[in-house]
Amino acid sequence: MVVPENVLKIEEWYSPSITKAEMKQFLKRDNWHGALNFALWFGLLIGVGYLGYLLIDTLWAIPVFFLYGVIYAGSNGRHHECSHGTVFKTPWLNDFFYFFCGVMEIRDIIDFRWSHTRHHSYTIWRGVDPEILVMRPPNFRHFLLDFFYLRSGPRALVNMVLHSLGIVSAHSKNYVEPEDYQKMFWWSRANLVIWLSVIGASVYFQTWLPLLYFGLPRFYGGFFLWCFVLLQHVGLSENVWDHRKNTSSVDVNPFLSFLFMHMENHVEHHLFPLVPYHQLPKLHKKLKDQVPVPYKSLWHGLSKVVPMVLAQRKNPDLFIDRSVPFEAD
Amino acid sequence: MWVKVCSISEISEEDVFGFEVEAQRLAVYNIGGKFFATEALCTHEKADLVKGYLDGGIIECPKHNARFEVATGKCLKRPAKHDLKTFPVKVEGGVLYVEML
Repeated sequence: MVVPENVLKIEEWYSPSITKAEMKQFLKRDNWHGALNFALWFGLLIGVGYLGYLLIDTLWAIPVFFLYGVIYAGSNGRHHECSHGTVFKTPWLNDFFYFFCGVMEIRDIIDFRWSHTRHHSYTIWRGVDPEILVMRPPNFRHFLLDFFYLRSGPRALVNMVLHSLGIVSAHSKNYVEPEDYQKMFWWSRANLVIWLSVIGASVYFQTWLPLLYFGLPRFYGGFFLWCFVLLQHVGLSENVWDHRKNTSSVDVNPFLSFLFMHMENHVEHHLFPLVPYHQLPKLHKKLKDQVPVPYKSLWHGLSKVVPMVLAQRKNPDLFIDRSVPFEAD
Repeated sequence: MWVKVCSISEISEEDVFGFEVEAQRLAVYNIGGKFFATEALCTHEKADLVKGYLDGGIIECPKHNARFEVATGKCLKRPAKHDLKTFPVKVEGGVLYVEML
């Protein structure tokens, strides 16, 4: 296991100025925001999914199922937010949807919890953060494959099988506490049972439909999700104790904001991980004079990130220097 | 040894405040008019619980959501493994005292 204290000198992360009274308001949780969000999301999945079913024998099915996949990939943001325990005030609701969305994401709840803990503690610290999406120097083929989850997805499937067999993957050994291995094995088995059920249904009924609705959409619908998550950390500074420099926020349209649970406010999320997703836009307004200006849109962000990824292939020391109002002390 | 910490009026209900007592950071909680004190740093990675989320007698670490029962210090949720140290408190004349052991 990688022990961060052995790899780097640990310092304090930059913390913006905000009063305790203000933070107390931002930290408030309830159940109705999450309930409404999930109800809308499931409603969209069911509605678009049904439309796809009606059009299955026509060429219209292609764009409809693509849309279904885009909506399905909202499992990523929901899985992530529920892992923080902040979507709902009632803890078991967070745990339930964390597991459910995790199956869609092909991540078991134990592995991701430890991986994400490490990510928040050591964001984009090379050799320590297991969630660095694009290493330096970047492998551009891998970068392109993940627009449809074609590199990370198969690896996640392999890890699910390995963990189900009681074998800890090489990657997970870096950050999962050994005393949680057994739990990880059993939760992976729970994931695998669901996946095998869907695959089994497809084989038994001799139709792609079960997989078209569950499992495969994470791949064919992952394009916008990858565009979105790339902007969060890729191409930015690494090995710094300042989230304003290694993380970026972006302005997106209300649909993407809903789909990805306000994770466009990613700097704010890293500064205060306990703030529920629905409070992040207000927190962003509160902190906007203390953090860099967000990318103006998905495409504006990509116009910065993609050239930087290409440039880093020749010079891995290059990075996008996000302007901050104040330098960290 | 009992150490004077603060006036109880400084700690509003359902809230947690941090105090330095003999070079140790403590978190003092007011839950339904009852006061409790624990060490302030999460037993996982030493994040300040005073900045955490307090609800129903449970304090949640602001960094990784570890949870502790305030009254007993008992660790309820990973990634923390160890309980918080708790300190006896008493209120006399509107002043909160913590017993430093």
